[in-house]
Amino acid sequence: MRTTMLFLAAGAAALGACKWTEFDDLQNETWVGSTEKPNVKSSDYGVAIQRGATLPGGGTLVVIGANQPTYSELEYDAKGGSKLTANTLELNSQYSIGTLDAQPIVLADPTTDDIALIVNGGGAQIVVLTGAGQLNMHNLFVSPVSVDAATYMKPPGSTVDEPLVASGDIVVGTVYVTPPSPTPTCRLLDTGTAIQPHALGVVRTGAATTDDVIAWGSAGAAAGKLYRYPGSMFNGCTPPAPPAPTASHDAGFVPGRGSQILSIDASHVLVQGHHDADDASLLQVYDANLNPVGGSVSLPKLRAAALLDTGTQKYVIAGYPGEIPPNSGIAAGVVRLFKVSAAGIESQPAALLNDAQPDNNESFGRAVAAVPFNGKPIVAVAANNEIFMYFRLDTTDGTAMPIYGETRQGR
Amino acid sequence: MKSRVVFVVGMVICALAIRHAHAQPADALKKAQAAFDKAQLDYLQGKYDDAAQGFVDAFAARPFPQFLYNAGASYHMKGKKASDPDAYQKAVDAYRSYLDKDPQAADKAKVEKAIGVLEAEIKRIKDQAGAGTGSAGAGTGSAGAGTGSAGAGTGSATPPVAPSQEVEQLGDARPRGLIVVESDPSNATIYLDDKRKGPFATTPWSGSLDGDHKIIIEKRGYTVVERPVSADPSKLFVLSAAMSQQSFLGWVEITSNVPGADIFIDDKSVGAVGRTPLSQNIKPGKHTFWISADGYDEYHQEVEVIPNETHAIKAQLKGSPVGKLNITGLGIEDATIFADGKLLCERGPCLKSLQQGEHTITVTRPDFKPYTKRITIQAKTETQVRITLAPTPSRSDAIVAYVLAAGFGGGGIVLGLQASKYRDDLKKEIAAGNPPPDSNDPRFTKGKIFAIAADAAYAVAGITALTAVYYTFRDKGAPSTGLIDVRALALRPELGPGYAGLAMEVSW
Repeated sequence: MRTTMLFLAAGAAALGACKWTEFDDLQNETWVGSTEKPNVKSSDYGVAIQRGATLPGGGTLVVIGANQPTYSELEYDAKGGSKLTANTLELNSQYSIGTLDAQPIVLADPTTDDIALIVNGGGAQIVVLTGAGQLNMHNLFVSPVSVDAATYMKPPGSTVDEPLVASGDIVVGTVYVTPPSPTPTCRLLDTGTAIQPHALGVVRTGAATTDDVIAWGSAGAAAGKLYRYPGSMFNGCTPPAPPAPTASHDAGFVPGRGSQILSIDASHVLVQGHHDADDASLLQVYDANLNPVGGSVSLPKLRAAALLDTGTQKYVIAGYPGEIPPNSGIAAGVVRLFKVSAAGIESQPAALLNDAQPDNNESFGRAVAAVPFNGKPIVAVAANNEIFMYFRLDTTDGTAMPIYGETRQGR
Repeated sequence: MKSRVVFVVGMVICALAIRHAHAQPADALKKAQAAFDKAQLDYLQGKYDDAAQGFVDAFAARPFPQFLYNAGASYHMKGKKASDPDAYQKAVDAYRSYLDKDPQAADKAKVEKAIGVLEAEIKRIKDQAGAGTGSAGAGTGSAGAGTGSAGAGTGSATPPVAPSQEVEQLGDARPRGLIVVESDPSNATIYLDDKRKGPFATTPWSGSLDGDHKIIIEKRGYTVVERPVSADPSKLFVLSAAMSQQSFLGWVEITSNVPGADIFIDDKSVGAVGRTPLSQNIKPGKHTFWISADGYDEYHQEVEVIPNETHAIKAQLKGSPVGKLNITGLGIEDATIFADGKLLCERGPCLKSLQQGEHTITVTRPDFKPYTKRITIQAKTETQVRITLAPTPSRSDAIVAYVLAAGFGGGGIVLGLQASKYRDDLKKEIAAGNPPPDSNDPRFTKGKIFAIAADAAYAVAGITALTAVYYTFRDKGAPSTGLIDVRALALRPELGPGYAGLAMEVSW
């Protein structure tokens, strides 16, 4: 009897037995790396992210923090481990930037590892910090100051891309190391009315030519309209003859701040529009002549988007930080990946990402980016004070096909 | 040699008595009874001379020595009442006749002492009477004081001398009742109460008994007679057994070189049927006899009993190196005693013989700690073990430890199952990726904490369980103890006047 009881106890113990080291092994098996706020002064870490410099192994992610604004970089080693680099910048003490916009604009130079952080510097100036690791500051003197939209473009006569910033009814570039005073600006008008763009993009007509600019108007008769302007505006318009748009189209959606126009290829762009008031959203592909291609996606609560080019397929990484993940009941946020191409955007997402253990108001997807990691672009998602890196990714549309395979070395 | 002489004398007396008893007609017994009854009445009325004469008459009718004792007792009382030296002298004479007739009397020593005291008293009275006469110088004659038969007319009689202290210490001499056991045929064996006590006497027998008894009369070839008797100190009780012949029975005579050995016939479980020497009728057929005595090997013999024949069984018991084990102690009556794992006594106190050598003695009692001791039993010794059993201590500490162990074990299982659930969920989700858990998923930390907690709970449960086992089997509190005392036993043959047997000295 005693022996039987002993075996029963041992059996029960075996059932409940679980080595704690198994969790370390499992943790290494996860293919989503999560990095919580490192030792930076910002209390709101990850309000914006962007790919950083390309590394021979691993990758770099630029992370912007608010509430004590900071610029920092997370360096991912080839196996997926992350660490904070030493070049963290405290924007307030170093650049007198005390407050960031709600959704700071961080652009990635399409041809180099540079990024551009465009913020309201106060005192009738916009501060544009550019570079890779070490940032150079550019001051754009405008009045009144409002950072409404920005894009990298190739200006006239330049071999490199430079940021173009929209502030109110004017656009201004950073082509000058020491800009003349007053800074050359250009007003974007539609039949004499300022369109006040809330999104800027470019159409790269050729490698050696100046990009045309796509602007998404938000005011007056231009509200909701897309315009294509010639690239000459980058050097400032010659008053009193601002350029006339070469094409326009009423998208039927008035963009709020933080809307984006992303280049899919030389002749197609994806517009990502949202406005915070009613959480309305729009994802739509247009061709270079601003004709809509395919259907649109208007799932609400879209806040951020980035393009992911796996080489064989392009996706838009769309962040919905106020969305409720499936089976959670918590507004923790989700990220959807839609296939995009010259044929348009697919209406159903190829993948739906969310935190497996969501927290309320986690804002998963408040910022998104495609980050080169070990030479391949992977998805990065920001949540409140936490960064997620998807080192491999499968579709979740029922096919379970890999969007990209394991990117970490040693796996 | 002396015992042989006594035996021969006894046999002669017995033979005379038998012959005399046969010669007595039935009215002789009635005459003796009538004289006995009247003498008892006279004694009670203080007519001691008449009473004495009555007992003498009874003796004349049936010569039972007890009548002579009663006559002596009557004179004794007369002498004591009146300090009469003549009466004392008659008492002494009667007592001596009594002892002459029954030299093996059980009260021989007492009677001899009385004779001595009375003779001294006679001398003392006479000495005092002589001294009194000399001093008075009255020439009153030679009669002693107070006799009433001489010098009465002198008007100056000497007051009676008070009995001496020794006489007073003897107490009042009273006539005894008499039980007479006769059988037809005579020379039958008498057993008193139980045959296992051994033969008591042979018929005819007379004597005194106290209390109620059972008289068993047995003779070869005759039916056994059993009668209850209730001794009355004032009566003459005569038991006459007319024994019917049983020719179909056999007869066994069992003796052993060790008198008093237990006899078992056919079935040991019914106990001993008697002690050696034993003679009795027995049904014809095959019978098994065991004769055993402490300190001796058991004797065993099978006998085919044939009707109307005598079968003699002479057991030669050989001494065995055994010693006595005597287990005593407080509460031993509720204890069970084992020797070498075998039941020795179901209840104490336990006095048993054990072979010489080492034995493991275990004493158990419910709710008490057992006492176990390896004891060396020596031959011809009595090893007395006085046991003090200690109460079994409470095992509540062990129970608490078991409960804690179960609690921790159960907690460990619950925690482990929870950890396993986290592990399995994470494995599944990592594999499925919908959604994929990240490296900082809180379930990793939770699962690890649960797993560590489970391991810790198992460890604590194991330690607690071991502690519980230790608590269960540890010898808590004072152990049961035994005080061993070895006493030497010396058995030796002993012959004395009228007896033979084994004598034992005990020393320690």
